[in-house]
Amino acid sequence: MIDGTWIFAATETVQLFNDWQNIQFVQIGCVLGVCGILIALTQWLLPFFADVVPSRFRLYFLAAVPVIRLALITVAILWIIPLVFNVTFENFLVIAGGASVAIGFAFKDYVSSLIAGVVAVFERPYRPGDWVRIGQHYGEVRSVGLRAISMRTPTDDMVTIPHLAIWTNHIANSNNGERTLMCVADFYISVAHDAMWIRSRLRDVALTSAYLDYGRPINVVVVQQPWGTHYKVKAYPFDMRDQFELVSDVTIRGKQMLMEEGILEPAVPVVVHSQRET
Amino acid sequence: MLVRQLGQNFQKGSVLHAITPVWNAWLRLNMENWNSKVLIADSSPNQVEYKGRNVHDFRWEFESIELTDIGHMSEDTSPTLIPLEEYRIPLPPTDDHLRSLWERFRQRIWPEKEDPFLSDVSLTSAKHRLADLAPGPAFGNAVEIIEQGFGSWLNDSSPARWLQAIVLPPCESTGLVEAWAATRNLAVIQPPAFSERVHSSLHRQRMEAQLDELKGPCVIPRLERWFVRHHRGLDLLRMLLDRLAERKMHCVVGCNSWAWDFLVTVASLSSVFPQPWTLPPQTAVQLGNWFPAIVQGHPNKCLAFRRAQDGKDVMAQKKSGKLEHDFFHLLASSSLGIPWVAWYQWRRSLRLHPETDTTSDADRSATAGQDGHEDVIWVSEPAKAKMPDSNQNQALLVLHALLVHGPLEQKELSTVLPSVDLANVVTVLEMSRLVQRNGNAFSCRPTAYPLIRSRLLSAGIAANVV
Repeated sequence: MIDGTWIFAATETVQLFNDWQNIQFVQIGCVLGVCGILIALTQWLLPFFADVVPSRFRLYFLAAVPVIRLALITVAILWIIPLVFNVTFENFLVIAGGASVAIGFAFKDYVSSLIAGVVAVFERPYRPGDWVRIGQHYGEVRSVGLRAISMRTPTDDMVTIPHLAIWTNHIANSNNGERTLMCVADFYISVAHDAMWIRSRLRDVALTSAYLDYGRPINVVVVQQPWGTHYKVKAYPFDMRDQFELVSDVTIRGKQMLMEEGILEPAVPVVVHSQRET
Repeated sequence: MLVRQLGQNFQKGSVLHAITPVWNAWLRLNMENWNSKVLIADSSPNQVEYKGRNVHDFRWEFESIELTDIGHMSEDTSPTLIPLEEYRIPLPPTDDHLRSLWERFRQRIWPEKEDPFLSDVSLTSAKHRLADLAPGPAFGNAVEIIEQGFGSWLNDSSPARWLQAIVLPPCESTGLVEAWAATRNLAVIQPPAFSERVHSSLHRQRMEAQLDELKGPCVIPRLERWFVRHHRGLDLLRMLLDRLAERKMHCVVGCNSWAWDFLVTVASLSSVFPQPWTLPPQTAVQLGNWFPAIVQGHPNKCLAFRRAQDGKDVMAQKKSGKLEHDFFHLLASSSLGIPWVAWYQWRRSLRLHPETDTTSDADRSATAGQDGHEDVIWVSEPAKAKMPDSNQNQALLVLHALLVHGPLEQKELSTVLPSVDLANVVTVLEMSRLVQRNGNAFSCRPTAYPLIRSRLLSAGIAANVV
């Protein structure tokens, strides 16, 4: 059956694309080229400046990379669409319908990751430079792409995690955009000792660490266990990149102090799940 | 209220009167931002008091103002101690940042050889004349400033506080607080040796006996030498502070600013010393008065300090009494307003022309008074220190330890620092002229301190430490 409506729709969809002769491929190429160059420059320059500027500004520079890239891509797409498509409401419906089918069957996860990437830019559960735990992985976010993030673990593995993970996983951000994060050094001591004295000594161990950000609080948490006492020394390094150095330094000097004072570690091996991988 | 007053003044028909309250409010706000104690003494626009001195003849130039000192440079009122939190580093000349940025950019794009009035290569160091040209002490009139600050308090038999603290920028090696104590004949409690600080039980009894013997005011000149960044290194300091808090006698405690910043957190110093004091920053005018005044063995009128770059006299003044050249503004800014840093930088920048240099002292004295004879000392740009390219994190830890503790030997450094990759770092720092060795002890060079400070602050190791 051919009625007026179908004829109208067919006529309009024929003009979904502009005439090939009218499409300015040079202009499109220029827009894509300039956009690509600007994105490449952003991805190269901002991390470079992030390493040069005072550390308190480092994360701002790193966090700006995905935002600027998203803005550039949005501008490029908005620029190119009218050059290629005959933008009408009917064409929009046609494209949206076709795209929905394709996305629904073939690219569901991919597009979901892209959308999650846009959400992540604004919600900022992680930013470049942050130390995050996603699932089993803990590490520093090196880059935030459109589809996935790259993370470097303390064991120097590069892990790529799609943004899709933010829909289904808890994301633990250790510094949340700040310059430093809390570190925990654990000490296990057998039962017979003066807990108050040990606690104050361990606090002094942390206070005198060269890596310590002494403008932030230090806390020593004492937990009694069946096998002895578990001391958790919580402190902040002046730069989060020194977190493992701080934990190592406090651990080494804490053990030295305990040995000098004749304090014994528990004889029974203890299985402890450390809070973070080291 | 300000708006109402503005309207009333407009009704009087005087634009000048109308803008006066706005002007005064603006002036007060901005000068308070520069941390100057501003007292708007008079609503008249041609006389206000700034830093306790009368200034006038200001004029608006679009958005900038110029304040001219009524008094001559030499009529500067004597400065006094200021609260630590009010210390502000002198600002460089406004266009200096832009100029240096442009120069760096231009040199990168169009590298050109500099064309100074006199090449630095053609000049020799004035080392053998420094004793005459810039003799010590490196702290200038700081002893008088401390006396002015604490004199009346010491004479008060029942003061509100028995303890006072003076926090000094680091690299002061000549003993300022000791020198002031000597002028007053005050008992000085010397710090213990490094090993005694780690093993505090060795020194505890001696310290208590020393404090018990004291019946009058005392001075502890270097609090930074009463602790060690070690798990047993804080005990002695805590004992000392407890004993001082118990005594009902005057006691002045000197401490370097980096140690103070550390101890405020670690030993709760702010509860014992709620109001620490410090020296006021040296301004360009004060430096311009100080350095010519200390020249010895030479009739000053025949001695000229000229910049090697342009040949201009750095001491020359305008009719208004302001310095013609911005050299001392730059020096005040680059030295962070610290007198001993400025003094060392000044000495390091003095140069002689080989012809002048070969003239004997007798000849100089003979020709000095004659017409047309001018003994010229050339002032060159001191070579800027540079951080070593490798091991920067370790280097910063070493420099921080040296600032917090003062001079340390290599073995002592390894006690206060993690031992990872420490080898050779001190040697590299010494070769980079950031660190100097005196006997076996290493310390930060005063001339390199501004660079060291900026790097430590950039790394986030400390914030707002002078």
